[in-house]
Amino acid sequence: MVCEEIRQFLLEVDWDASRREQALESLKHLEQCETCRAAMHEFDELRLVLAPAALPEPRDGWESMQRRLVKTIPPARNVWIRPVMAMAATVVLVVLGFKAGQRESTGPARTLATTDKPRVEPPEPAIATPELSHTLKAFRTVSPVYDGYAGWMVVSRGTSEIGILPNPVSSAARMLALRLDLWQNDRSISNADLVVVDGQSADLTLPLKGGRLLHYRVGTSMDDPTRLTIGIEVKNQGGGEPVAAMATALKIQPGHKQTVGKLATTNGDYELKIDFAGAAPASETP
Amino acid sequence: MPDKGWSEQEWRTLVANEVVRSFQLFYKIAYGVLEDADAAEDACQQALVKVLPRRRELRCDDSLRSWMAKVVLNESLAMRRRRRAEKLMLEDQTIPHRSTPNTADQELREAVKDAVESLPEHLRLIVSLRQLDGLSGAVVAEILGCSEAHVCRQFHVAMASLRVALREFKSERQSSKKVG
Repeated sequence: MVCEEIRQFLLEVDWDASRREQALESLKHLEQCETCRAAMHEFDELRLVLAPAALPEPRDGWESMQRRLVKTIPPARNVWIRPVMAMAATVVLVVLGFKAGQRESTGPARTLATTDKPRVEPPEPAIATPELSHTLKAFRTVSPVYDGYAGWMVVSRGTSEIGILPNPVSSAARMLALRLDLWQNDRSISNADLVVVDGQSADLTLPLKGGRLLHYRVGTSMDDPTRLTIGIEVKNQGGGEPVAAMATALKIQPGHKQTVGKLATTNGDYELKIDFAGAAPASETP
Repeated sequence: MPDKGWSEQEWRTLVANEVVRSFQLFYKIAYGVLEDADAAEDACQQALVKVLPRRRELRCDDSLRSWMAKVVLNESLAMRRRRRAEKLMLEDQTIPHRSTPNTADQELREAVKDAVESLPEHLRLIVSLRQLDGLSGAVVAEILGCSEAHVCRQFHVAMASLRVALREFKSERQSSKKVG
């Protein structure tokens, strides 16, 4: 081995000084001890025999296997179970690589907010279509655990929730994929991906830094998937009056990001933006 | 660390959560034993069916992941035994002349795998994860929820047992050659 190869090898094995000393001592010992040499050859032989075979993918692919295994588990109904939130988060965070930023709002806000009328901004880059398909896939993976009773799923940094409906979702239902983005003084303080069955409402609460809570109520229409009602409240953790609140109805455009409304408070301006990726069937077509 | 006070629904959800997180690891463990993709997938599913009604067996100091990994490994080993028994039955009773004789390497491989199977459960899992699945000591320690040093010591104990089995196999083969 030339010097360059030795240096590269040393980096690869990532040994510290004590590990190098141990290795050196072991090699010296091996030169003198026939019993240990024999053991080493046997270890090599065992390693060779037990070496991992090249791992093929399952016959129908990883996703299919995952779905099959999850379907093996009998569904839970009409319950709100926190661990599934983590499962949903795992799935969705993995498939979306979602990186929302949350920043803490500072200073007290005493004034209840006022609202602007929703207006459509010039189109900004929206959620990419592949992300919609990943989000829907994730929802479809989680949904069988609830025997089709899951009505919505939200994923935000550090938290996720699933909403359970009193009745199972119809096979003809569609899912809307939205990204909710709340800004305060030109900084994004909360960013959440929501998939919701059309005709259903999602009531969800997300933590904000500084101990505040952000509550959304997003209502959808079965007749017109581009029509939404949105209510938003920012509250202190102890409860009491909201520090900011707004409710509005709006039409959303697939593939567009638009401002839902602005809230002027003594603590600064809040602005809610919504990004609508589109609608797709809630269940997979056979 | 999960506790034992789960409702049935919470338990199913925990298991589903773990399946979503670790199903590739479980498949890898099963494939390491069975060397057959379909059988490995079946073994994972069988293991899951066995796990579901056994929530009271999970001790508080177990991690669900390592417990499920043990169940998958044991199910895979049981499936391997069944498949081998079926194969032997076919060879012995139905089509004796069509059986392919094992090569020396295959025999050695089978003998070592048998020796792995006869190890205590915790050692078996460590060997399976370290050797059959090619995972590093650090990763195995993370899966089992113990220290890397502990994995290293246990792995050494297991390999010492396997060395004995290897020597026995060789000496048997040697003596059968002499007899032949």
